[in-house]
Amino acid sequence: MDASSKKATNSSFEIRRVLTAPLDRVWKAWSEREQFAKWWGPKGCSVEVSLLEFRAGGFFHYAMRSVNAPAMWGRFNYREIVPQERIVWLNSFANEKCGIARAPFSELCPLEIENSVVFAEQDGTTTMTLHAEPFGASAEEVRYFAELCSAGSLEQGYGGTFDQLAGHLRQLVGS
Amino acid sequence: MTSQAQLDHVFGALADATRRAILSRLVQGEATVNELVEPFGLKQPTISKHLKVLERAGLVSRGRAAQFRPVRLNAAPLADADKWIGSYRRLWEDSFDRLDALLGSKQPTTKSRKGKQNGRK
Repeated sequence: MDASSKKATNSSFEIRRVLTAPLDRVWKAWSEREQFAKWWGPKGCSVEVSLLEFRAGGFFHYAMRSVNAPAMWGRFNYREIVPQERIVWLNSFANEKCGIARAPFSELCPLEIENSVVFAEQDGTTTMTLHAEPFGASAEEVRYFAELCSAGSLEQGYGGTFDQLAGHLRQLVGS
Repeated sequence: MTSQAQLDHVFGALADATRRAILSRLVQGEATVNELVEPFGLKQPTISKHLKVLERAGLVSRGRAAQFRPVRLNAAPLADADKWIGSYRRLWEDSFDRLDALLGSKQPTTKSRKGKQNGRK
Protein backbone atom coordinates (compact mmCIF):
# COMPACT_ATOMS: atom_id res chain seq x y z
CA MET A 1 0.00 0.00 0.00
CA ASP A 2 1.31 3.38 0.95
CA ALA A 3 4.20 2.14 2.99
CA SER A 4 6.26 5.24 2.36
CA SER A 5 3.66 7.66 3.66
CA LYS A 6 3.20 5.54 6.76
CA LYS A 7 6.89 5.51 7.41
CA ALA A 8 7.04 8.74 9.32
CA THR A 9 4.22 7.69 11.60
CA ASN A 10 5.82 4.34 12.25
CA SER A 11 9.07 5.93 13.22
CA SER A 12 7.59 8.36 15.70
CA PHE A 13 9.28 9.07 19.01
CA GLU A 14 10.61 5.64 19.67
CA ILE A 15 12.79 4.09 22.29
CA ARG A 16 13.67 0.44 22.13
CA ARG A 17 15.32 -1.48 24.90
CA VAL A 18 16.33 -5.11 25.13
CA LEU A 19 16.39 -6.54 28.63
CA THR A 20 18.06 -9.79 29.60
CA ALA A 21 14.97 -10.92 31.44
CA PRO A 22 11.99 -13.04 30.46
CA LEU A 23 8.81 -11.30 29.44
CA ASP A 24 7.01 -12.61 32.48
CA ARG A 25 9.25 -10.61 34.82
CA VAL A 26 9.27 -7.52 32.65
CA TRP A 27 5.49 -7.53 32.56
CA LYS A 28 5.35 -7.68 36.35
CA ALA A 29 7.68 -4.72 36.57
CA TRP A 30 5.12 -2.73 34.58
CA SER A 31 1.95 -4.07 36.11
CA GLU A 32 2.71 -4.41 39.80
CA ARG A 33 2.55 -1.27 41.84
CA GLU A 34 5.51 -1.97 44.05
CA GLN A 35 7.83 -2.80 41.20
CA PHE A 36 6.73 -0.07 38.84
CA ALA A 37 7.43 2.64 41.39
CA LYS A 38 10.95 1.35 41.80
CA TRP A 39 12.10 2.07 38.31
CA TRP A 40 9.77 4.51 36.58
CA GLY A 41 10.27 8.25 36.87
CA PRO A 42 12.52 11.19 36.14
CA LYS A 43 16.06 11.10 37.43
CA GLY A 44 16.57 12.78 40.77
CA CYS A 45 12.95 12.37 41.83
CA SER A 46 11.37 9.85 44.10
CA VAL A 47 8.04 8.67 42.80
CA GLU A 48 5.32 8.18 45.35
CA VAL A 49 2.42 6.13 44.10
CA SER A 50 -0.96 7.38 45.14
CA LEU A 51 -3.02 5.12 42.92
CA LEU A 52 -2.26 2.33 40.49
CA GLU A 53 -5.20 0.79 38.72
CA PHE A 54 -3.58 -1.36 36.09
CA ARG A 55 -6.54 -1.88 33.78
CA ALA A 56 -8.04 -0.17 30.76
CA GLY A 57 -9.62 3.06 31.95
CA GLY A 58 -7.67 2.97 35.21
CA PHE A 59 -5.19 5.54 36.48
CA PHE A 60 -1.66 5.57 37.75
CA HIS A 61 -1.48 8.69 39.91
CA TYR A 62 1.84 9.69 41.40
CA ALA A 63 3.79 12.45 43.07
CA MET A 64 7.33 13.23 42.00
CA ARG A 65 9.30 14.54 44.91
CA SER A 66 12.74 16.02 44.85
CA VAL A 67 14.79 17.91 47.39
CA ASN A 68 13.95 21.59 47.83
CA ALA A 69 11.12 21.58 45.35
CA PRO A 70 7.37 21.26 45.65
CA ALA A 71 5.94 17.88 44.65
CA MET A 72 4.77 17.51 41.09
CA TRP A 73 1.85 15.26 40.36
CA GLY A 74 1.33 13.20 37.26
CA ARG A 75 -0.92 10.51 35.93
CA PHE A 76 -1.22 7.73 33.39
CA ASN A 77 -4.65 7.02 32.01
CA TYR A 78 -4.49 3.45 30.73
CA ARG A 79 -6.42 2.97 27.53
CA GLU A 80 -5.51 -0.53 26.45
CA ILE A 81 -3.78 -3.38 28.20
CA VAL A 82 -3.07 -6.69 26.49
CA PRO A 83 -1.16 -8.87 28.98
CA GLN A 84 2.45 -9.47 27.98
CA GLU A 85 1.84 -7.78 24.66
CA ARG A 86 1.13 -4.09 24.85
CA ILE A 87 0.11 -1.15 27.02
CA VAL A 88 -1.36 2.11 25.70
CA TRP A 89 -1.83 5.11 27.94
CA LEU A 90 -2.07 8.89 28.07
CA ASN A 91 0.50 10.58 30.26
CA SER A 92 0.03 14.04 31.67
CA PHE A 93 0.75 16.19 34.65
CA ALA A 94 -1.98 16.18 37.27
CA ASN A 95 -3.19 17.82 40.43
CA GLU A 96 -3.43 16.12 43.80
CA LYS A 97 -6.83 14.74 42.93
CA CYS A 98 -5.72 13.09 39.71
CA GLY A 99 -7.25 15.79 37.55
CA ILE A 100 -5.35 16.70 34.42
CA ALA A 101 -2.98 19.68 34.69
CA ARG A 102 -0.42 21.61 32.74
CA ALA A 103 3.24 21.02 33.40
CA PRO A 104 4.16 23.09 36.46
CA PHE A 105 7.56 24.11 35.14
CA SER A 106 6.81 24.73 31.49
CA GLU A 107 3.58 25.51 29.73
CA LEU A 108 5.17 24.32 26.54
CA CYS A 109 4.77 20.65 27.33
CA PRO A 110 1.94 19.04 25.40
CA LEU A 111 -1.02 18.53 27.70
CA GLU A 112 -1.27 14.82 27.05
CA ILE A 113 1.12 12.39 25.47
CA GLU A 114 -0.07 9.13 24.05
CA ASN A 115 2.33 6.31 24.77
CA SER A 116 2.35 2.72 23.71
CA VAL A 117 4.80 0.04 24.64
CA VAL A 118 4.98 -3.29 22.86
CA PHE A 119 6.72 -6.32 24.32
CA ALA A 120 8.37 -9.19 22.50
CA GLU A 121 10.29 -12.08 23.99
CA GLN A 122 13.06 -14.05 22.36
CA ASP A 123 15.49 -16.50 23.93
CA GLY A 124 15.00 -15.17 27.42
CA THR A 125 15.38 -11.53 26.42
CA THR A 126 12.55 -9.06 26.20
CA THR A 127 12.37 -6.19 23.77
CA MET A 128 10.29 -3.17 24.74
CA THR A 129 9.42 -0.65 22.06
CA LEU A 130 7.94 2.61 23.28
CA HIS A 131 6.20 5.13 21.04
CA ALA A 132 5.07 8.54 22.16
CA GLU A 133 3.39 11.51 20.56
CA PRO A 134 1.32 14.50 21.65
CA PHE A 135 -2.31 13.51 21.95
CA GLY A 136 -5.01 15.47 20.17
CA ALA A 137 -2.67 17.22 17.73
CA SER A 138 -3.58 17.51 14.06
CA ALA A 139 -2.39 14.88 11.61
CA GLU A 140 0.15 17.28 10.19
CA GLU A 141 1.54 18.15 13.58
CA VAL A 142 1.75 14.52 14.56
CA ARG A 143 3.60 13.75 11.35
CA TYR A 144 6.10 16.48 11.98
CA PHE A 145 6.53 15.37 15.56
CA ALA A 146 7.18 11.83 14.34
CA GLU A 147 9.86 12.99 11.94
CA LEU A 148 11.49 15.16 14.53
CA CYS A 149 11.54 12.42 17.10
CA SER A 150 12.84 9.73 14.82
CA ALA A 151 15.87 11.90 14.29
CA GLY A 152 16.43 12.01 18.04
CA SER A 153 16.59 15.74 18.12
CA LEU A 154 16.86 18.70 15.84
CA GLU A 155 20.59 18.36 15.75
CA GLN A 156 20.43 15.14 13.78
CA GLY A 157 17.29 15.93 11.87
CA TYR A 158 16.90 17.06 8.31
CA GLY A 159 20.47 16.43 7.28
CA GLY A 160 22.75 19.34 6.65
CA THR A 161 20.23 22.13 6.63
CA PHE A 162 18.96 21.40 10.06
CA ASP A 163 22.40 20.70 11.46
CA GLN A 164 23.19 24.20 10.49
CA LEU A 165 20.00 25.55 12.01
CA ALA A 166 20.54 23.65 15.22
CA GLY A 167 24.07 24.95 15.52
CA HIS A 168 22.76 28.41 15.16
CA LEU A 169 20.09 27.80 17.76
CA ARG A 170 22.66 26.76 20.28
CA GLN A 171 24.48 30.01 19.77
CA LEU A 172 21.33 32.06 20.10
CA VAL A 173 19.70 30.43 23.06
CA GLY A 174 22.25 28.06 24.48
CA SER A 175 23.44 30.08 27.39
CA MET B 1 -2.06 32.67 22.91
CA THR B 2 -1.12 30.06 25.46
CA SER B 3 2.26 28.46 25.27
CA GLN B 4 0.59 25.15 24.53
CA ALA B 5 -1.05 26.66 21.49
CA GLN B 6 2.25 28.12 20.49
CA LEU B 7 3.96 24.76 20.58
CA ASP B 8 1.18 23.42 18.37
CA HIS B 9 1.85 26.27 15.96
CA VAL B 10 5.56 25.50 16.00
CA PHE B 11 4.97 21.85 15.13
CA GLY B 12 2.49 22.85 12.47
CA ALA B 13 4.80 25.45 10.98
CA LEU B 14 7.71 23.04 10.78
CA ALA B 15 5.63 20.35 9.12
CA ASP B 16 6.18 21.95 5.73
CA ALA B 17 9.38 21.52 3.72
CA THR B 18 9.27 25.02 2.22
CA ARG B 19 8.93 26.61 5.63
CA ARG B 20 11.84 24.58 6.95
CA ALA B 21 13.89 25.71 3.98
CA ILE B 22 12.95 29.33 4.69
CA LEU B 23 14.16 28.93 8.26
CA SER B 24 17.39 27.41 7.05
CA ARG B 25 17.89 30.38 4.77
CA LEU B 26 17.25 32.78 7.64
CA VAL B 27 19.93 31.10 9.70
CA GLN B 28 22.36 32.89 7.39
CA GLY B 29 20.82 36.24 8.17
CA GLU B 30 17.67 38.25 7.69
CA ALA B 31 16.13 38.56 4.27
CA THR B 32 13.40 40.51 2.54
CA VAL B 33 10.43 38.74 1.04
CA ASN B 34 11.84 39.38 -2.41
CA GLU B 35 15.11 37.77 -1.46
CA LEU B 36 13.17 34.73 -0.33
CA VAL B 37 11.12 34.56 -3.51
CA GLU B 38 14.11 34.03 -5.80
CA PRO B 39 15.76 30.88 -4.47
CA PHE B 40 12.48 29.07 -3.91
CA GLY B 41 10.94 29.74 -7.30
CA LEU B 42 7.61 30.47 -5.66
CA LYS B 43 5.32 33.41 -6.12
CA GLN B 44 5.48 36.18 -3.59
CA PRO B 45 1.99 35.57 -2.16
CA THR B 46 2.95 31.96 -1.53
CA ILE B 47 6.07 32.99 0.34
CA SER B 48 4.06 35.53 2.29
CA LYS B 49 1.59 32.87 3.26
CA HIS B 50 4.36 30.66 4.59
CA LEU B 51 5.86 33.61 6.44
CA LYS B 52 2.56 34.28 8.14
CA VAL B 53 2.49 30.73 9.44
CA LEU B 54 6.05 31.06 10.70
CA GLU B 55 5.27 34.40 12.26
CA ARG B 56 2.23 33.05 14.06
CA ALA B 57 4.43 30.31 15.50
CA GLY B 58 6.81 32.99 16.70
CA LEU B 59 9.61 31.53 14.60
CA VAL B 60 10.27 34.64 12.57
CA SER B 61 9.71 38.33 13.10
CA ARG B 62 9.44 41.15 10.60
CA GLY B 63 11.44 44.34 10.71
CA ARG B 64 9.86 47.77 10.77
CA ALA B 65 11.45 49.29 7.68
CA ALA B 66 8.12 49.75 5.97
CA GLN B 67 9.02 48.80 2.45
CA PHE B 68 11.37 45.93 2.91
CA ARG B 69 10.42 44.53 6.28
CA PRO B 70 13.25 42.05 6.50
CA VAL B 71 12.37 38.69 7.98
CA ARG B 72 14.51 37.30 10.71
CA LEU B 73 14.73 34.04 12.57
CA ASN B 74 13.51 33.80 16.13
CA ALA B 75 14.97 30.61 17.51
CA ALA B 76 13.46 30.38 20.99
CA PRO B 77 10.27 28.45 20.15
CA LEU B 78 12.28 25.87 18.24
CA ALA B 79 14.54 25.37 21.18
CA ASP B 80 11.51 24.83 23.41
CA ALA B 81 10.17 22.11 21.15
CA ASP B 82 13.56 20.47 20.99
CA LYS B 83 14.03 20.69 24.75
CA TRP B 84 10.72 19.05 25.49
CA ILE B 85 11.43 16.09 23.23
CA GLY B 86 14.89 15.70 24.72
CA SER B 87 13.64 15.66 28.28
CA TYR B 88 10.89 13.15 27.54
CA ARG B 89 13.41 10.88 25.90
CA ARG B 90 15.72 11.22 28.89
CA LEU B 91 12.92 10.31 31.29
CA TRP B 92 12.45 7.00 29.53
CA GLU B 93 16.12 6.25 28.98
CA ASP B 94 16.78 6.78 32.69
CA SER B 95 13.77 4.72 33.69
CA PHE B 96 14.75 1.86 31.42
CA ASP B 97 18.26 1.94 32.90
CA ARG B 98 16.76 1.46 36.33
CA LEU B 99 14.43 -1.27 35.11
CA ASP B 100 17.40 -3.04 33.58
CA ALA B 101 19.26 -2.80 36.88
CA LEU B 102 16.22 -3.91 38.82
CA LEU B 103 15.67 -7.00 36.71
CA GLY B 104 19.32 -7.79 36.38
CA SER B 105 20.27 -7.53 40.03
CA LYS B 106 17.21 -9.00 41.61
CA GLN B 107 16.78 -12.70 42.20
CA PRO B 108 14.33 -14.17 39.78
CA THR B 109 10.86 -14.14 41.20
CA THR B 110 9.57 -16.62 38.68
CA LYS B 111 9.04 -20.20 39.74
CA SER B 112 11.03 -21.81 36.99
CA ARG B 113 14.63 -20.76 36.67
CA LYS B 114 15.33 -22.33 33.33
CA GLY B 115 17.61 -20.83 30.73
CA LYS B 116 20.41 -19.26 32.74
CA GLN B 117 22.34 -18.41 29.60
CA ASN B 118 22.28 -14.74 30.50
CA GLY B 119 24.11 -15.21 33.77
CA ARG B 120 27.09 -13.23 32.54
CA LYS B 121 26.08 -9.63 32.72
